[in-house]
Amino acid sequence: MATVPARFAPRALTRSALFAWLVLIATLNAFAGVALRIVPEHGLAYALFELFGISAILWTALAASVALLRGDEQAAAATVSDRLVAAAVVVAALLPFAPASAAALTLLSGWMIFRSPAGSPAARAGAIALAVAVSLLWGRVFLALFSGPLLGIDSWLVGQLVGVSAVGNTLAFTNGSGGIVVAPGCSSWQGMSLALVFWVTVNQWFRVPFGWKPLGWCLLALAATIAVNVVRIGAMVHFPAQLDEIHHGYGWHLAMWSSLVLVCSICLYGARREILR
Amino acid sequence: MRFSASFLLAALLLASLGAKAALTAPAPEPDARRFAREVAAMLREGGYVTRFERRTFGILVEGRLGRCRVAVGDYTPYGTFAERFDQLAAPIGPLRFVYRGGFHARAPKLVPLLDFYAVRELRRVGLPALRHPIAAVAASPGCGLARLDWRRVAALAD
Repeated sequence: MATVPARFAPRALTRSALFAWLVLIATLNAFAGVALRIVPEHGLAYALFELFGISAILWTALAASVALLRGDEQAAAATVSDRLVAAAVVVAALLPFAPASAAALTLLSGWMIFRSPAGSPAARAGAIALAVAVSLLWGRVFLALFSGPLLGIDSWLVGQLVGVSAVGNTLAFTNGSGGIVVAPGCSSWQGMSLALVFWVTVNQWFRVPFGWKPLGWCLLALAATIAVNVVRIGAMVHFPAQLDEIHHGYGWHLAMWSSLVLVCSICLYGARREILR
Repeated sequence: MRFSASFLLAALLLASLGAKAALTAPAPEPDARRFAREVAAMLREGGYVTRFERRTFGILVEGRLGRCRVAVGDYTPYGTFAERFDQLAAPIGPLRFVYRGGFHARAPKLVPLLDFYAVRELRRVGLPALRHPIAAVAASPGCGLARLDWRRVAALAD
């Protein structure tokens, strides 16, 4: 009888190992919806430089979720129910529709959270994956459904800052030469969903206990993204001659990097006790 | 078996991404001119004299028939230009919305939005799917809008 060296011996796939693959499959296929539009529009070099149009926060969250699952040494073997969920995720990923993968990521993350012990790597990774799914799909649907009041709040804040009147989601230029309409893509809510993803990622990775204090840091990170976006739109209204540059040129880059630095700094500072422990 | 399962999942990951790369393409933008042409043809059939006006949200089609004045625009399901349409309608008459041939006092949201997403995803993979635009319609009182053939703009293949 032939013997098999121990390192090649077949082992049962653990829940966490299975979930790690599934998070990777669902998330990358959800990312593909954006990434596959960026490459033909701007070329591969630009797409690479722009992380395929996906925020660095989402890539970080994906890496954190997978790393938590890969590092789980205590996981039990995958159950039949886990394999059924896996089958659903794979079927959704094989469909040529990226939002189906984001929906599957929601199902998967919910399964990981509710069918794993609280505080386990699978539950923590599930929380991160859920935040990613919310940012990729549900946050956008929510914004689209309630765009009227949500964009109205953005416009009202800009109006208060710059001292112009806001009617719904329209803002007049300060020099009276015209105005702008705040579209869903320009809304603070886009940045807020990313801030939420990073806060969840940091808090799950460093095991920050949930409470009022961490919630306060989350609210501060959300407020920072709103502030940056309001200043950017306010600049468009105040300097209409530079509208294009502020909207999608240097203004956009400045706002994106400012938000990123502020959100990361606030979330990491909020978790400093657990980070330095 | 862990190794074979991992290899299978890695292969599925590559296959799913490869399929998306091979099958999907940017969805064509809705053709604003097609919508405007159909609206103008519908108004002309009803006896209106029409003209086009380029606006930030697309093309506004204006129609006149005696003392009756009508303005029709393509209303995005996101409702981004709701305020602009309100402003344009103010000097003409009440703003109403026509979706799939039915009149609405307020812009319909959930069904057109889900339909918009579905059509966009189908078109990304090259499947034929009809767009169902929301027509924002401002009309002076007594225009008799219901007599017009709104089915012309209920579903467009642009």
